[in-house]
Amino acid sequence: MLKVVVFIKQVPDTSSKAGVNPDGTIDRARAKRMLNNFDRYALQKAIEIKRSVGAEVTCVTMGPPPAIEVLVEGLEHGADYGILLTDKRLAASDTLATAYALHKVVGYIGQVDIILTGLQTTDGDTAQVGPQIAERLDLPQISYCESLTITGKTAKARRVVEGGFQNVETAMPLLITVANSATPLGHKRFIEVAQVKEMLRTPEERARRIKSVSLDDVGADAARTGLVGSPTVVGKTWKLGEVGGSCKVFEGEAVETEVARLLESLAADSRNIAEMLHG
Amino acid sequence: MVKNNVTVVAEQLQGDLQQITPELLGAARELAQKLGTGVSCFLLGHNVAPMAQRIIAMGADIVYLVDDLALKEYTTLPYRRAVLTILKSMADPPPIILMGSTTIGRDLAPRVAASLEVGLTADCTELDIGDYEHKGKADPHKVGTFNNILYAIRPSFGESLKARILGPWKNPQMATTRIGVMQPLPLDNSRTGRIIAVPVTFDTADFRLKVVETVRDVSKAVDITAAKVIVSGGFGVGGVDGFAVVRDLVSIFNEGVVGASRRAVDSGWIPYAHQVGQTGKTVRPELYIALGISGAIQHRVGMNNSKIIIAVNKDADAPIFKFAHYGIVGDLFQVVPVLKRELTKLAKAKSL
Amino acid sequence: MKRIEYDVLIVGGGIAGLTAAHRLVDAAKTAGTPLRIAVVEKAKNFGAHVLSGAVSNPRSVKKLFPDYETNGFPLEGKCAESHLTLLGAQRAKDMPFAPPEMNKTGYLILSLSNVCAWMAENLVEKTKDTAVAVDLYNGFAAQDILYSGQRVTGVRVDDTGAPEQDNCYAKITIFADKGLLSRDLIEKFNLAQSNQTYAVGVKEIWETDQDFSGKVWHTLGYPLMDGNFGGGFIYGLKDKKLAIGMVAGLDSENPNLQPPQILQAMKKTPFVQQMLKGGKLARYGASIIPEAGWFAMPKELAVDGAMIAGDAAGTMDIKGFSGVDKAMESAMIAADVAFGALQKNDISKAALAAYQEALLDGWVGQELKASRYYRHAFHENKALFSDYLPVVLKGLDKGCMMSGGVKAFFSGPGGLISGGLNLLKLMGGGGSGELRLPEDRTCPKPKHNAVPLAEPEGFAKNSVYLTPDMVFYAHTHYHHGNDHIKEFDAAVCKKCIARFEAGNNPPPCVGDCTADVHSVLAKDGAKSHQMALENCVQCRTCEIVCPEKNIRVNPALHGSGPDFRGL
Ligand SMILES: Cc1cc2nc3c(=O)[nH]c(=O)nc-3n(C[C@H](O)[C@H](O)[C@H](O)COP(=O)(O)OP(=O)(O)OC[C@H]3O[C@@H](n4cnc5c(N)ncnc54)[C@H](O)[C@@H]3O)c2cc1C
Ligand SMILES: Nc1ncnc2c1ncn2[C@@H]1O[C@H](COP(=O)(O)O)[C@@H](O)[C@H]1O
Repeated sequence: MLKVVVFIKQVPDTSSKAGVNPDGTIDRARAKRMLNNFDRYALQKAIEIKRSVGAEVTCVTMGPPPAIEVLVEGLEHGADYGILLTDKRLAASDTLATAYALHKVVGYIGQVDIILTGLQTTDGDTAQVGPQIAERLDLPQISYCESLTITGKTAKARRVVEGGFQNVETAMPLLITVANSATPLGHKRFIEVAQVKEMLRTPEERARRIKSVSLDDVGADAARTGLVGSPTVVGKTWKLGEVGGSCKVFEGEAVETEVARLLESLAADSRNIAEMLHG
Repeated sequence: MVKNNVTVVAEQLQGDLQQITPELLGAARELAQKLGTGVSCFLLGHNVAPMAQRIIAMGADIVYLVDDLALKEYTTLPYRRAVLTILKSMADPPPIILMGSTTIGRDLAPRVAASLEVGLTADCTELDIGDYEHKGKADPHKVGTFNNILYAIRPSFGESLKARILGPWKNPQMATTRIGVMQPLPLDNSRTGRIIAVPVTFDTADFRLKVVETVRDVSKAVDITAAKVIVSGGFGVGGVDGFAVVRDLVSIFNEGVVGASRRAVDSGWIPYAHQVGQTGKTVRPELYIALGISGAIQHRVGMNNSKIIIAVNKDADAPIFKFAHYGIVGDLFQVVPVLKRELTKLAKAKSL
Repeated sequence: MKRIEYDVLIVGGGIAGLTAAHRLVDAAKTAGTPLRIAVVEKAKNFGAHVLSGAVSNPRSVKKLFPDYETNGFPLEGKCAESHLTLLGAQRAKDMPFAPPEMNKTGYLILSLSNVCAWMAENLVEKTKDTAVAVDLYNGFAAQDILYSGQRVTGVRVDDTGAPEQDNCYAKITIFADKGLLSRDLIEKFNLAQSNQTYAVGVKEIWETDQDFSGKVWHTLGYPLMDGNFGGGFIYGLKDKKLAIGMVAGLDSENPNLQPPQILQAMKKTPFVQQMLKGGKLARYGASIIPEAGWFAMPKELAVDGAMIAGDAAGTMDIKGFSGVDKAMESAMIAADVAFGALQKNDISKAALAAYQEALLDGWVGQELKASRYYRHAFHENKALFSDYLPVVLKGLDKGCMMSGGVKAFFSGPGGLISGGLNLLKLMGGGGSGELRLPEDRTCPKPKHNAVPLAEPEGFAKNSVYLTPDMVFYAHTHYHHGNDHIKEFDAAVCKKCIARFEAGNNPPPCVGDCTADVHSVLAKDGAKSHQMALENCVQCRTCEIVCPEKNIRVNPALHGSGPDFRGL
């Protein structure tokens, strides 16, 4: 059976105001938490693989202990196992350090055929972690993957490229970052949710399905993760002003005059519309 | 000026330099000026040598060229190999490498950065050079004052914040830049520069992924997110026929497309692909002309980052006038023909 | 595959449903018996489809959570200042003699949606390391009731097509769904006594510059001056927030109530404007209120294997707006009876009937009985409001309420006196006989001629919103392919549109919609009914006012709908 790993992340829910400081930064302790939207497409791909050709799906996340919630969510959607990498020393990891730590989890799981990641996160928002994991593991990657067919140990995929799409093919193992134009995550099925709830009530079964591991457990070098292992830091943040402004309105005159005044006004503000017109 | 040049990775597609390339070169030039260095550019592909001179005209001093059949179509691993080989051929790593935040740049840059074990800041909207003092004691190795380092500035948390990302400890400092943000330099065909061809030896493992086919059909697909100019119609347009007026106005713009509000799409006047807003696409064109759109918030969140917003609406109280930059209160069916006529005059004047 | 079965299944995770769950957990923990409970809630998150005022008598909260003041129960505050205010287009004045039930001093100020979110979270905490299991199924709407003969055995909550995978079974099902599904039960067993009279409430949360915490206003007057039952409410919440809402009876002759715009109109008055100054709209939502009380309660509140609690059972009492406390009390009694029945292994209708007895014998029944003519009094005495209120308010706006009152008196003393006396008598519990209330859908008149209102002067334009803009603040989200509102026959809608448009009015589904869902589409000379379902806040007003019974609102699937967090 194919072994599929899908990386999912818990992110602050910025749609609610809870936990958003007045200066726009996030107070992670107070913020609501949710599964990174982009990862829902990756999770869906994993479930599709499982349902079409059969696979054992493991969700992996790195984050503080509450991140276990996204693993439960993964199981409720049909994944088989969940691994939480959690360690105080991981704090302030940038993408390079994150990818380092995550690739160690793949090693910990053992032989893996397909690794799926979301395109990007809504908090990190870099789209870098996926390819960086692939680099660490020396795997070919299919980024911006929309659809996927598996035959034996070969993956055929359609990926988005500028102005169109591309059909590619590669042998496993490989890493795939899933585009948000792929199939959205399906709805949880009642029966699966009910079974997960039942299972999580049994301590042995729970321990078998969801593991929490530390840097030492996965054999990662703490010096290459967290603040110490990150080549970049956030120096300063500041709030962006509201977009849009006081509207210059032309009204109550003949249409010709209004249009003329609009064009004058655009010119006066050096808004060069003429540039955009056909010569 | 040979060493320590601010470096960009050019992007070309089937022999065409992509829009991001002059933008990257423009940004690099500005940084180079502040650092007192030159600008280098990596040009990768097959039969791309003729483009090198154009890249110099766009602002590069040195072009590192890898011209190889293996690079005909972009694929991750061979391109990665080429970039790493050029870097290895240099005595010192460049201080800064910039790539585009395009599907190619976002595929390639992280692999290069991970391979070099250096930092990479994604999707920057501003770049600058400055000093930085690291005080945080958590990592004693990092403490220190650093001069003339890259400020990689990018929006975060859904565009509500800007963050300055720094990585002064190791070169190259890498960043990708958002498309359409950096300013290209005027093309200067009198510029001169050096072209250095770099031979690359590929590994069989670089060809693990095969491209079966690439389909690009830019002409057919409506991609309102990439458009420079959007003329959108709302409920006020009144029907399918009303969109003829919208199309008519779009036709005079170079890279214009038709957009629409949800109510217009829902009414079946125009396909969903044109829908701007919460349930449609988020756009940020140079110019957004809203015709007969009330400016309900669902629409607003999809377009309020447009550079110039011009609204035409009969209703002076329409919310769109709260956030448009320019507005005409009037019947769009009367205003648009006049607007089109006057703009056409402008265009003629421009081409004279 | 094993079928999923619980001891108790609760349909609807609103205040009644979650109260029942808490009470059951408490009972099982005290008794030391294992118990398996499931709560199915159609919203993606608990509380996301719950909207209330809400100012509540603390009695039920205290009963369920004796330590509610210290255990983290989310209070918005306690009422320290209670007003009943007459609102005119330009001025406002507290009523000199407010009925005692409108004095809310000492009552709890709540965001019921936040309360429900907290109760769900707290429920899980409570059951940790106990033999009691509570499984929360948010995002799963009960769609059909399952029966075995005449006995309710559970509900269907999924639509994969395989019954054993889609069904949730239970020994006892408690319906706390505000009627959305339990109306099927009431119909099947023919439990209805009288028709229900509904109102619709629209509500906004504002973040304001000033602190109004602990202050409560109920308003009468502008802009509901044409005999329509209703009024406004303004509650000061903690953290400088303000809840502001409007309730309008759906037994109105006006087919074009435009509830969101009634609220906007109220916001335009200087009285409200000064409160909103410098503030920002944070959220919007709407919900219906079953107001008829006593006579509209189902004949029986239990059948074999099932019980009905809260608004689904019509426990809301319009006198003093007592809905939350009565819904909670009914749920606690239902839970107690259900637990006892399970212990005795008897889940028959006869065993569960103890619930109804206890409810009606207790304070809930007593109060509802005492106020049984209250709402009807307004329906019967519309003229009192349409004829005299505007005159009184005109006087008020001129600065002298007395002169307005006196004028009203002289313009028709007979009507005023007899109407007023009649009203007071009915409100006070006088009256006799069974009431058979009209269906709300029969009230809207196609030819209704709404009296144009004088608009208050000088309001800030950016403090009021067009209805499509307001919907944005309800944060609705629907999944692709959603079609939770059924229109049975398009031809019927066409006729209805024609009938109402002939009277210069929109059909009631359009005119009374709270979220810009319904509209009339004119195409090629023909007019048809169309819906923008992605706007829907699931208030069910359209179904209630549809003159032709041609619309039905079903539970939307997969957690679709608004997000009423904070409302
Ligand atoms: C605007 C307004 C103001 C009010 N003000 C006050 C006040 O000040 N004081 C007061 O005491 N009362 C007030 N009330 C009344 C009070 O809110 C209600 O009486 C009370 O909320 C009823 O509780 P409930 O649990 O029966 O219904 P709700 O709290 O509405 O809960 C019903 C729950 O069931 C869920 N549900 C429905 N159908 C299904 C299904 N098929 N499957 C799954 N889930 C389903 C819903 O999503 C919801 O969560 C007000 C009501 C409104 C609308
Ligand atoms: N902490 C994390 N835990 C698990 N997966 C992650 C984590 N951070 C990033 N990822 C994965 O990497 C993808 C890209 O993230 P990013 O580079 O942060 O935009 C995400 O969609 C996830 O699949």
